[in-house]
Amino acid sequence: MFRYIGLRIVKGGLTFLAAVTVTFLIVRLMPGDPTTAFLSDSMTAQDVQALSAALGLDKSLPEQYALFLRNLVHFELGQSFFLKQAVSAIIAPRLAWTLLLIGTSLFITLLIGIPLGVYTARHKGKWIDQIVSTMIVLGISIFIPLLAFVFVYVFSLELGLTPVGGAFTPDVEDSERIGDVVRHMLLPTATLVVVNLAQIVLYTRNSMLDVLKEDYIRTARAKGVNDRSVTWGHALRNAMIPTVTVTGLMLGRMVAGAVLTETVFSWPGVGSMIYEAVQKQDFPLLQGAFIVLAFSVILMTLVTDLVVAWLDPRIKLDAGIIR
Amino acid sequence: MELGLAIAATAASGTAMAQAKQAGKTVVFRIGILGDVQTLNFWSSNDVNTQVLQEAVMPRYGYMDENGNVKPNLLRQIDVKDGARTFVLHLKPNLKWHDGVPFSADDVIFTGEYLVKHKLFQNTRFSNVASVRKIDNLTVEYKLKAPQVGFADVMMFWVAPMPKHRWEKVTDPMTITDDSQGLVGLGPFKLTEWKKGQHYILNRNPDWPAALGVPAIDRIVYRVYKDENSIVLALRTGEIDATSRQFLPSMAAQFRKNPQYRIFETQSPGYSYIGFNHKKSEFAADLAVRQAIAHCVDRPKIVKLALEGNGAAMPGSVSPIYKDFVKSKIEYPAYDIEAAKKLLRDAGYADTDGDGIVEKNGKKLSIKMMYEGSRNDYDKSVRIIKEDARKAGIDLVLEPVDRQVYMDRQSKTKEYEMLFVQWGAIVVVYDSFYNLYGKDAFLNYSGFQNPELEKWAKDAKESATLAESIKPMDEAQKVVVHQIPTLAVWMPNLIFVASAKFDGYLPYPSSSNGAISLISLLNIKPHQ
Amino acid sequence: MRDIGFVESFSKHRLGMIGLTGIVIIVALGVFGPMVVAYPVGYNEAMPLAAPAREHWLGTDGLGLNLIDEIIWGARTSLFISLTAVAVATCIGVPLGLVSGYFRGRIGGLIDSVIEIAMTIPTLPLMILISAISGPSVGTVAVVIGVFSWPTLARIVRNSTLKLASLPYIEAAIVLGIPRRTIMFKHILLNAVGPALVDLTIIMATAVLTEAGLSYLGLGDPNAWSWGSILQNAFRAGHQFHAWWLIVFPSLAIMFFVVSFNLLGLGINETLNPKRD
Repeated sequence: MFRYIGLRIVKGGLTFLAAVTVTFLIVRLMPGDPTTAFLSDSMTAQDVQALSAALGLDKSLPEQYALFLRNLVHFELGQSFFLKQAVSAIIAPRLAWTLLLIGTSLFITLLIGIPLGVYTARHKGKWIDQIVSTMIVLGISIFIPLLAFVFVYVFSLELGLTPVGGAFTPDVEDSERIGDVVRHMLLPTATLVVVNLAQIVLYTRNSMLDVLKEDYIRTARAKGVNDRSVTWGHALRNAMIPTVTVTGLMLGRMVAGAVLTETVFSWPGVGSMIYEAVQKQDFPLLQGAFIVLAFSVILMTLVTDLVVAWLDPRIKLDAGIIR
Repeated sequence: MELGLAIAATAASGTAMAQAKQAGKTVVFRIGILGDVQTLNFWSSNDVNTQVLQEAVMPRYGYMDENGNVKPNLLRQIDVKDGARTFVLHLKPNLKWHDGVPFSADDVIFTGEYLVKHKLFQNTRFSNVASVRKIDNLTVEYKLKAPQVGFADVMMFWVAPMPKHRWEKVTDPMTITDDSQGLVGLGPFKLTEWKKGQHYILNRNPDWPAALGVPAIDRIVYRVYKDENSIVLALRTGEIDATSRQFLPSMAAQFRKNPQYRIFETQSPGYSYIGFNHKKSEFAADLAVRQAIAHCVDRPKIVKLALEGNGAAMPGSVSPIYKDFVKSKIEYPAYDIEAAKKLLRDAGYADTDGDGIVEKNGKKLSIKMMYEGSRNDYDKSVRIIKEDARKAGIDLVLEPVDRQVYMDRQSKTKEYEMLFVQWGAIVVVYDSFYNLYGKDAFLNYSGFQNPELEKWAKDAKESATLAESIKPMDEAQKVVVHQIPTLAVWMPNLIFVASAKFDGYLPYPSSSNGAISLISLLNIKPHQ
Repeated sequence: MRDIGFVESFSKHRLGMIGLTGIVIIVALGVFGPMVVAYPVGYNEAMPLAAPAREHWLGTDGLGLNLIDEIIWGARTSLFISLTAVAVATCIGVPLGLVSGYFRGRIGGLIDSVIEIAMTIPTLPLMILISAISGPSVGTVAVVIGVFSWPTLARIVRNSTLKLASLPYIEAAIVLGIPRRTIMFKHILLNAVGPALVDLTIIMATAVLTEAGLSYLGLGDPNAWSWGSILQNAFRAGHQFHAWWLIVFPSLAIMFFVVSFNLLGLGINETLNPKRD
């Protein structure tokens, strides 16, 4: 198992390296003067000098790359054009908001999705399965801005139950702060849950169906093991493996969904920051946001891989399965 | 059912605080602003949102009323002598800076000198000053190099005084943004707390002289919104009580029949126009092309489609609200596609390859038109103009960009061929005409030069009386509508919407402040 | 032999057939529509923001242009983008998947690692970045979406290849001396088509959703009509509250396209792998 874990960590590291290298290349090889990506006319002469030195803009590409990597390790991501602050300082609080949103959505999605997937797998063909299947197809086809618009129209405008956007109200009393944030979180979380629930249910259901056919399940049943125990015990544990794996793969898509959702709801996370940075062509901020997002996704993927490692007995025993 | 809705509605207003506070506790007024405040250093930027905050914290010397006349805020009286060569300003008494130091003539004198010395915004208002003298603590005398009847009006509308005791030691004002200096103004509200990109909170200033009006509002909260839709929604749900910006007609439509909102409509003192950069495009430099494009602008149609009828055509280069200066009806070329085609033909342009666009010397007549993409009124206007220009054989390539990028290119790098944008306010027009068209004038973005225009605009500015400025203004206008350095298109009606939970709005025509100008803020009170 | 069986069983799958029908409608709209309907350009003074009526079945937009024309040309854009994305993904993904599955050793493992890495990188932010730098254009968006879709496709082809390459009849073919290339392309590829097709439908559906998202954010091509940009125009002008048709119809179009392809994929999938007890 430890060999597996080690391998995964190495892979995660390589993936991150690939991601930041791609970012590095895109920003620096774009047409036109690469320095415009990092220096803007509104900077003072001092800032220009300091930044050029820090980012090595006058050096050769490989040298810049080395400098870039070294800066990364020190969390030096450059300075935002328009906010005139260090990118890392700007990103930190926004990352917290994004993690809050994605984390909560993921938790709720799994909480509802896995049992629902299991249930429909067990009751395959019956009407509940048909309904859920239809809803799955609709769910994976949803266009986020439309869903968000409908939610806001119904719940914020017509019913007045939720705020229209943002993560909090500025001058609210400390005692009400948590409740305030929760109310602001309702619609964006609901949006993300709806979009991702369909995926999770789909995969859980399908992998449960596959597993339920397997020989060892028939053996367990033949042995007289209680049906429920078969489902929730043996079958689920093994069906979880693809599900958890898929969750890991889905994280990339969740981030995409989060970017759109945050932008539509003005949720002050890294996703909406990417949008704002693009609008203003604030490349240092954009690059920083992307690197941070990539890192988060890869880290979460690594975590899911570790959960898979814990679940899959074949890995525990290092039984030579190459993934 | 109704009870349920009522409960829901109460829970809905961003915080239930607003309701509770109006019942005899702190009166909080919430304002939504579109986009963040760029800097809290009021003197280093002309950002609209900075100016919004400025209204309450650091008001300018004066304001413009509903008739387009400039009236004083901080001055008691102005004496004009020596054929508009000498101006004596009398300050209102008992005004104090937020840190307790009294406002005095020293601050007034310091402001003018500091702005000029460090070339900050509004320094051009003092370029004609020969000397300044302190007569007493509340009186200042300015002597000008040349007569300028609009001197005081211009200064009052645009300039806010700086606290000398806070700024005299500052050697590099452009680097001061927000945190370091601490905000010291002398307005009826103090900036107490802020979070960039999110909100700014002001509390009432107890030292504001009662004689100038005691605000009923105890606290103002400015919330930042990223786009029009969010701000509109926030107003609808009661998250905010007013917005700093005017609304697009379709956005305002949903509030019209609703008794929970007040709607104010004023005519804008500004106008939208097309700018040409002769330095970056050979076609923009060609007079025939500019005149041909002028023939392709059908103003009534554009007002109907792009502004949904909420506005008026601007037929000449001076806004009709300045009645004295439009009496001679000096107007741009009329909408006439055939005339445009003829002009181009006579200038040597012809469509040799049959694609509908003319060429000259093998080059297609194609010009890029830059504009702020997020403004729907601009987008629709340029699409209509593009289509009509195409009928005449001109290819206008749309270049929508973000606001930030737009400002950068328009003012700093000048990387554009044509632009479409709006002046927020052109006030004291006989004075500002020179700022628009004079050599190296600060609003003359493309650096257009014409000796005749230069002479007439200057004459208008340096007139001794208002009446004397009319003739030079007419002559200057004639050059503009012929040479077309810029081409005015429409004047929007400014529509402001505010919550009926408050009364006392006094909207004045100024595109950044609308229903929440200083005068208004002093007058707004909760609805009884 | 196998194909005929497939078509027959597929035609019995109700949802799949619904999806196929939807796609036929979309193709008809997107391919033949633009031949009948002129490209909407400029403005039409007569009736801006008009509700659906006899003269304009789906209403008009803020500049008076007919919404149905915009939707038809939007269909064309959607088809173009999804097909380009599919083409790009196929050109990269299928060969890589085949090679990786067939040559199981180092090369296979290496390619597989590359696939996994590519799958983990979050794509929308990167697409936004590229869009911002290279400027918005339909072609760029399509190619970029394709480039981000190849990993999944490659993975599927690889898995198929892995499974098939070890079957006895393949080994028999090798022993008989049939050239490796023939084996790869003829036998294995043909049989990997099934699952790959499913992924292709997903790629097409996702491509349209992604492009709509980018257009909605204002990063789309301003000179091409796309359902996302129709929505963006409407929201930006604040028309959503009194011109409901500008929001409803493009959204329905997007959902129709995406649902149809997903249903088709579902149908193909369940026909290939019937999950009977």
